[in-house]
Amino acid sequence: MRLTLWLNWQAAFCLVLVVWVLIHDASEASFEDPLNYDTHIAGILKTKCGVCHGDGKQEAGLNLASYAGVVQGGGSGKIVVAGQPTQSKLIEVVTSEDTSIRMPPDGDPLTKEQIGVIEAWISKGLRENAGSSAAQMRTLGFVPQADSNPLDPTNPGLPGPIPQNYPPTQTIPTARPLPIVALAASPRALLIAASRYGAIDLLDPVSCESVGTLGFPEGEPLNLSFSRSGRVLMAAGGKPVRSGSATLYDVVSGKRLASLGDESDAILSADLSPDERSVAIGCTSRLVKIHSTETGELITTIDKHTDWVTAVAFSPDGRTLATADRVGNVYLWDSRSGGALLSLSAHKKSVRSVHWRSDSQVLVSCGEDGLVVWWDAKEGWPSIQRPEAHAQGVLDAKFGNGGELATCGRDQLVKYWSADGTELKRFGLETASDQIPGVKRLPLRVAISSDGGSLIAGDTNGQLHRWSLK
Amino acid sequence: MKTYQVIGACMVLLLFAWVGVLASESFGAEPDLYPSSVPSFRRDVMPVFFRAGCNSGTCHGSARGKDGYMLSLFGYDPVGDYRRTVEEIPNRRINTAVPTESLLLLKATASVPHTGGKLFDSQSELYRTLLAWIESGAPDDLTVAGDGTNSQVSIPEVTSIQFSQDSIVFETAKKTQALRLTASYSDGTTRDVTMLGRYFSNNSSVAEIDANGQVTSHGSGDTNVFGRFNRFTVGAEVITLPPSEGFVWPEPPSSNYIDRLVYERLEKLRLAPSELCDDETFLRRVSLDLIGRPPTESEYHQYMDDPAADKRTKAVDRLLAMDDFSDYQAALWAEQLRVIGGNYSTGATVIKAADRFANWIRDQFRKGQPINEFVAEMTAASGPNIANGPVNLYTMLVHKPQVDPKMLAADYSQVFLGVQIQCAECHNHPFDRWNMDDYYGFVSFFTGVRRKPGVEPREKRIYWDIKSSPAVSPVDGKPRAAKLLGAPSAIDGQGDPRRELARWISDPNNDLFAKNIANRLWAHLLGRGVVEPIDDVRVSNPPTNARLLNGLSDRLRELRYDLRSFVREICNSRIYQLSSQPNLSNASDSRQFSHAKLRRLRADVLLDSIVTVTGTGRNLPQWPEGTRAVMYYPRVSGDTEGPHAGDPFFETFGRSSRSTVCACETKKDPTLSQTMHLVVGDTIRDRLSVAGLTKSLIDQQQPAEQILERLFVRVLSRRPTHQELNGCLQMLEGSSGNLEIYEDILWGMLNSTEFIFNH
Repeated sequence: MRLTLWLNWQAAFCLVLVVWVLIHDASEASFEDPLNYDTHIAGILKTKCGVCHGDGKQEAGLNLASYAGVVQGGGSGKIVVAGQPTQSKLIEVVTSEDTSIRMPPDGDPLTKEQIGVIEAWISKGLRENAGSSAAQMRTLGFVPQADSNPLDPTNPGLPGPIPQNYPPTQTIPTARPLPIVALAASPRALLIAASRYGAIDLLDPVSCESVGTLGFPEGEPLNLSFSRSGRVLMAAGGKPVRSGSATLYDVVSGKRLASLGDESDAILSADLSPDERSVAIGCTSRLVKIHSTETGELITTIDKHTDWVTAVAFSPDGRTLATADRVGNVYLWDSRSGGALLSLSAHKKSVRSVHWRSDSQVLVSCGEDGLVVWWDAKEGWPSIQRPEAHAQGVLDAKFGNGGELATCGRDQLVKYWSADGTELKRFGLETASDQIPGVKRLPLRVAISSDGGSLIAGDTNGQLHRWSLK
Repeated sequence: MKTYQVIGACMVLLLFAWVGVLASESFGAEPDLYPSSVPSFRRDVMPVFFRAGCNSGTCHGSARGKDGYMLSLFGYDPVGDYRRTVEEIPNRRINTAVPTESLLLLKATASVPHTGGKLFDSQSELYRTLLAWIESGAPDDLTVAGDGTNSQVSIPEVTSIQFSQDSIVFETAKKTQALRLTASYSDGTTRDVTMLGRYFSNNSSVAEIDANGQVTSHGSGDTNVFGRFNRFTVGAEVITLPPSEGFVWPEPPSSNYIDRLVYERLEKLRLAPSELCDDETFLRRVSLDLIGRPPTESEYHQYMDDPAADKRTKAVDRLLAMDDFSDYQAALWAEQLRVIGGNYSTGATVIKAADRFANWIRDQFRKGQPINEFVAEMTAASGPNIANGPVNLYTMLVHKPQVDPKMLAADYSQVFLGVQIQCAECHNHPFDRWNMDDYYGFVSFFTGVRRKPGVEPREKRIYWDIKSSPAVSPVDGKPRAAKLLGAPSAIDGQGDPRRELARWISDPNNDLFAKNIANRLWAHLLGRGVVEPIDDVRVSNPPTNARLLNGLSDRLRELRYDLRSFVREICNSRIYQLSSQPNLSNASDSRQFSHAKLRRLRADVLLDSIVTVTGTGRNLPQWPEGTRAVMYYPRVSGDTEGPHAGDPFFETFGRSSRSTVCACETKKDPTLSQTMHLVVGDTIRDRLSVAGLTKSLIDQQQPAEQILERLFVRVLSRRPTHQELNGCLQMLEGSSGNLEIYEDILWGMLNSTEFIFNH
C-alpha cells in the first residue's frame, strides 16, 4: 500500500515535471546546446534587468544587453568571475535576502531555476555563444586574397568574376526607385554594381540588364567598391542617423563573406583595400576608421577631419589612403599606420568623391564648387584643374582603367575627359516620360566599364544611362 | 396603420434626417490645410518650417544653420531652401523611395536624435503635409516648358494677412477669445492659416495669446497681440478693463482735437484724466519745454499777475515768438543729425562745416521754414560743405571716411521716418512689412553719393556719381534699382535719385514722415511718444492711441508742417496741461497721457537752468563765453566718429554722445555720479551765491520772508509753502543776515527733485 502510494506520488511528480518542461518557455534552458550567453542567459537578463541595465538606461553604469557589457561590468567593477559563481556579484545580488540589495528591486525575484542557469553558466567559463569556447578570439571567417597582377587595359583578363546563379533575394518595394547613390565598375570583369533600396544590382554594362541581385538588409548601400581582382564587392551604408555597417560579398556566388563596422549613422564613404585586408569607413562622426576584414577589429582611427567624411579611397598599390570631407579638405595617409602624408587644398566646398588612377600616381577629386582636380599624388600639387567642369557642382568623378575620366554634375551633364584633362565628349540625360515637373533630374554617379567601352551614369530617378565610348 | 409601424416609420425618418445633417456638416466643414492635390513647396511645406520653428533664428534659420542644414530665416529664400532641403545631399533629408525614412520627418518627430527636440508627431497635420509632398516626389514650384526647361514659379504669393478681429475688449481677467488668421493670395483667394501662424503678445501681464490664436486676459490695461505668417505680421489690440464699479467718466472739457482724441481712448479704458496743473507749474513746464530754461523772476511775476482768462495761451504765444524757441528746436535737430566738429577727423566734419550746418539749421527754424521742406532741402543737396550748409547731411549723419550707403540709408530712415530698416539687410524684417528688396532698393538712393575735395582746406564736395551702380541683393546677386519704401516698383528716370527721394519725403501724402515728425514733437512735449521708442516704428510696435497719432499727423499736414502752429495747439490742449499727480483710476497708466509725466531735465537744459537761476555763467570747451548748453556741440581735435559728450557734466547727465542717430543716445536714467556731482560737485557749489544777489538783499536789510520768497520764485518758479517758510525761518533763527544759511537753503533747492525734474 505504501509502495503504491509512493509510486503514485512519483508518477505524479514525473507527470508534473514533464508538463512543466513542455510548457516551459522555450527561450530559456534548452539543455541541448552547451550553456552559453546568447541562448540561455541573454533572454533572462533582458526580461528581468533590461529596463534599468540596458541600452536605454544604465544604472550604476551597467549594461546587460550585450555579452561584452556583462563581462565588462559596471560602476562598481566586474559582476561575473569566470568559473566562480560564488565570487560573482551578479549571483550575490539576485540571491540576496536583503531587500535593499536584491535585484531586481521591484517585481518578482529571479526564479531558483533561472539563478541556477546563471550560476552554471558562470562556472562553465562564460561562453558567449554555442560555437565559442570560453574567451576565444572573434573571427569573421573572411580570408583576404591580394591581387598584385597589374591591370592591363588592353587585356583585362576577361571574363573575370561575374555572378553565377545567385540565390533569390527578396526585394523591398518602394514608392519610387531609390536614386542611384552608388555605382561601381569591376576592374577585371564586364560588370557594374548599382545601389537599390536594401539591395545591390549587378548589371551588364552594355545592356544594363541585371545579372544578379544581392540583398543589403542593413538599409541603403551608399558606397559600392569592387576589390582589385573583382572577386569581392564591398557595400557600405545603412539607415541614416540610426545604423551603418559594411558588408563583403563574393561576386561569383553572391554569398555574404563578412560584415563589419558598427556606426550610429549610415556610412557615407568606404573603400576596400587592394590586399582585401582592411576596409576604410568615413562617417558623419568626422572620423575615418580602418577595420580589419579578418577580425572586424578597429585597426586605427583618423580624427583630423572637421566635418563629415564624404570620400575615402585606397590607392591601387595599397600604400596610400585618400580621404576628403564636407568643407573641401583632402588628405593622404599611410594606409597601414594611418600616419599623415599630405594635405591637398583646392576645394572650397564639399568634396563629392576622390578616385585613384590605376597607376596610383594621380588622384582625382571633385566637389560642389564645380572644380575637378587631377592631383600629383606623390608631390601633392594639382597637375590639372578644371574650375567650371560642371556649373553649380560636380557630383562624381571616376577613372577608367586606361586613365580616362568620367564626371557628372548638377548641370545635368555627363562628361568624358582624356588623360590630360581635355573634355572629349559630353552627354545629357534624355527626357524621361515620367519626369515630375519641378523635380530636377541629376546624374549622381558615373562609372567606366573595365574595357573602357561603356560610360554608365545613375540618376536621381533610379535610372541608369549608358553611352558607348568606342 | 398599426402603432408599431408608425413608430418604425418615424425612426427611419429621424435616421435619414440625422444622416443628412451629418453630411451637410461635413460639406460645410472647414477647408483643408492644403486643398490642392499636390502640396506645394512654397505654399504648404515652407509654412510648416515656419510654424514648427525649423527656420527660426535659434535653429536652422541662423546664419550658418545647424549641423550643416541651413534654411533662410523665416523663409526669405525659397529657391535656396528647396535646393538645400532636396538637392544638397541627395536622398538623405528627403527620401522619395521610402518617404517615411526622410530625415526631415524622422528628426522632426524625434524618431532619431534631434537636438531641436520633437516638433510634432506623426498624427499631426504638419507631418501629413510634409509626407504628402515627399510622396509626390518632393517637387519644386516650377512649371516645365515644352523644351524641358524649368521656368518661373507658378504659385500665388501671399499678399497680406488679417486677424478675424482687430480689437478685443475683455471685461475681466481670465476670459478667452479665439482669433483666426487669414492669408490673402495674389490670385485673389484667401486661406485660413490659424494653425500655421506664430503668435506673441507685447505685454503678457495684460493678455496672452497661445499657439492656436486663443487670447486670454490677465491684468487690466491695454496691449497688442500679433500673428505672423509668411513674411507678414498683423496685430490686434487687446484691452482688459479695470472694474467698472466706482468709475465715473468726469466729462472734462476739451480745448481742441487733441483732447477729444485722448479722452476717447481714456474713457474706453476707464482711466479718468487728472486735474489741470496750477499756474506756477504750467509756466515752469512750458518754459522748460519751449525755450529750455525756467522762467525768470520778471517772467514769473508778469504771468502770475495777469488776470486774463487766456493767460496760458498768451504765455505760449510769447514763448513761441522768441528766438530761443526756434534755436532750441534747431539744436535738437542738430543733435539728431550728429553734428560734431573735428578738424582732424578722417571724415568730413571739419569745424567750419559743422558750424555752417548748425547755423543753417538754426536759420531755417528761425524763419519758420516748414519741416518737410527743411528735410527735402537737405536730402537733395550737393556741393561743397563749408559753403553749403544743408549738404552736410551727407557728412554729419555718417562720420566715416567714405560715404557708406547702407549706413546712410538706415540712418536716414530711422531719423526721418522712424523706421529701422537695417534688420532687412540680411533677411526680411521679422516683425514688419519690409523685405530685403525694400532695403536694397532704398540703399540705392545713396549708392552714388560721393565726396571729393572742395575749395577750402579740408572742405568736401558732395556730388552724385552718375556712373554708380545700384545696391546688389545677396540673395541672387542682382542689383535693385532705387525704390521708395512701400512703393511697388523702382523710380523712373535717371540721374540723381535723391531728387525723387526729396520729393517723396516732403509729399503731404507721405504718412510715415508726417507721423514720425508729429510723434517726435509730441514726445518732446509730453515725455513719451504715441509710438515709443520714437525711432522704432513697426507693425509689432503700434501707437498706444492710433487715432491720436493719425489726428496729429493729419493736423501737421493741414498746417503745412509749420512748427509753431503745431506746437501751439499741443501746448494749448488740456492734456498737455494736466497735473502730474495721478488719481485712483490712472495711477498705473504710463502710456495714455492721463496725467503729466515726471521727466528729468535733459543734461543741457539742466545746466542752462542752473546757470539761469543762479545768474552765474558756465564756460563750455572750445566755445565762447555765454554759449547756452543746448546750443553746444562738441568741437574736438581728433576723430569725430566715437562717442563725444564734450563736457564732463554732459557725460554724467547722459547727454547724447552723438555716436549714433538712435534717440536712445539721450539717457535720463539716474546714476550715483549724478547725485554726487550735484551734492558736492563744482557746478552747484560755485554758484550758491547767486552772483551776489543774496548778499545784496541782505545788505539792503530785506526781511527774511521776502528774501526767501525771491529765492523760491527764482529757483523753483513758485512761492514757498507756509511749512517751508517756517522751516527756513527757524534755520535763520530770526537773524536775516546769515549768508551761509541762505546758501544752504539754495543748495537744498538746487538738489531737490523738484528742480531737476519737469513736473
